[in-house]
Amino acid sequence: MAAVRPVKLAAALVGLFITTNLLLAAERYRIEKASIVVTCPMTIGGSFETRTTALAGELALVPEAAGSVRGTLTVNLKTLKTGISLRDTHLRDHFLEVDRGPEFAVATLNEIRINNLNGPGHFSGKLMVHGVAREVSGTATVRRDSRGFRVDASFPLRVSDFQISRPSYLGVGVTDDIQVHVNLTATATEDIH
Amino acid sequence: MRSKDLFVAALLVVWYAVEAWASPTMIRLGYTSCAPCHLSPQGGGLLTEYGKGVDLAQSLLARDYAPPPDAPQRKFIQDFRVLLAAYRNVDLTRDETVGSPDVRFWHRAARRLGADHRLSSTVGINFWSDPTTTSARADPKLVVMKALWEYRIADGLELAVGRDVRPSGLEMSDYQDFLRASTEPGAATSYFTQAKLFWWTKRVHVTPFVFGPGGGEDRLFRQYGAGVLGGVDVWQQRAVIGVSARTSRSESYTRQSIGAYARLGFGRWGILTEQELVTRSERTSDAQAVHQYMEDTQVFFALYEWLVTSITMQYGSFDGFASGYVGRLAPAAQIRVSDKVTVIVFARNLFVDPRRPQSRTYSVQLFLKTVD
Repeated sequence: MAAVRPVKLAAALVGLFITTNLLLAAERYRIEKASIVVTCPMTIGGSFETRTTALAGELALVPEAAGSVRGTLTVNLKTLKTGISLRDTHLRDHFLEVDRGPEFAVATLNEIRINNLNGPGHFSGKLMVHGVAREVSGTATVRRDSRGFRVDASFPLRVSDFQISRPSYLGVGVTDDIQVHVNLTATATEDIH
Repeated sequence: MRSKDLFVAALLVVWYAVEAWASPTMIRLGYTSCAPCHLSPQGGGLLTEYGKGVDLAQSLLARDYAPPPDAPQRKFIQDFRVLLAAYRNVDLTRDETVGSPDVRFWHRAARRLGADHRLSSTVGINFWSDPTTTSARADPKLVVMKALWEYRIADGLELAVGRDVRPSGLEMSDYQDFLRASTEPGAATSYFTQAKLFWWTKRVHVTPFVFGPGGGEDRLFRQYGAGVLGGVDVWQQRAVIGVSARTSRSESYTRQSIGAYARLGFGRWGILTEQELVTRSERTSDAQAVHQYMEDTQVFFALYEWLVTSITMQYGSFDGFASGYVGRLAPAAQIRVSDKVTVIVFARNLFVDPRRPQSRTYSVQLFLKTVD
């Protein structure tokens, strides 16, 4: 009897180890599809939208820290479109300066915390744009399904916080406060360590 | 002559308004009003510096518009426009085809009188009458389309007094005059003497106006009236919904109308639509009031920034909806080659019987303009 217990204990530990890793592996997600719309109000009224679908990244839930999400979301700023090609060029070259260096060509969001992983809630994270990192926060609705989850998030940004020259063209400018709306679908990846 | 005959005759005579091809399609990109790009908040006409930049950026030969950064604000700006067009007009009931050219000149100018005042004018010469009908003929005429004093009282508030087209929800007078003319017998012009106040915020636009005869009308048809437009941005600068009302009186009739309009934009495409109910009563007889319904709807799609296609559908009913019908269907394509050259191609069908078109017009128009 005394000789069986260590074997059973070892088997239980192995099982627990495998189960835990399976659980941890099931909590990794890759961005499958995304849409980002940045609403830029103009100083003369109205607004235009800057859009891209070039959002990539892998996220993993951190079991030991409820609501925390490990990983980085990256947006390729060279793909932003405003509906007017010349304006796209101005935005990318003059204001976001995407060719100034690798950290200017993308926007990244990490250190993400979400207070509700199934339903409406709030999120926060660290956003880096134009080489400047700032805490951001906003609303996020997470919907889980068998494949992963969908997120619909929205948050305000202040352009000047990121040392971006206020976009303006021939006397018409963008207000300092803009709104970002992200819609993404992430699917689970199985990655057993 | 029966009322219905007058109705159709009025359509055919005033069929061809100035084909300046104004169209507020920029709602698709979040421009809820005309003020950002045009000197006049009503839209059309001379462009602001920003408007020139957008005009050039949305051309096939797009480039940056870069005025000298330290240049003082100019007191006088102007441009010249020319329309060269070719029409093929087909009367399908009589199996008759007539080709017609058209040539028009416009001079547009704005002179700043002070920090907040300006005088604006548009004077044109039309060389052909009725070029989109089988009765086209050379008939040069000088037309004063605009002669306005404009006073910017404050940001978002402007008063304009003088001669101009009356405000409307869609500001597409080149299309909409086709039906409107039938509701205003004897109106010899689309340009009325008026005083109008434009008030606009980021979400709301209101324009009350009063107007008098435009000139050239018979005394019996000189109208005096007032109206108001009001629109609200109801969804993220992509949907403006509005209402309109107008009343007028001449020696021969009174006219009242109420209407609703919508300007909707969805990125690459959009919808512009306006409906009006009109009641007209004869003052010189005991004839029953006439009710008319008009609808103008355009669906447009910007295949590229410089290529906008559209289909415009117009419908008018006469005599209390029971009889009398006219419709127009016009697919078109507008190509902005540069800020100086625009080409428009369209085909237009006129229906007075819903089962078959009465006439058809094919057209190629070349607009040339200088840029000041």
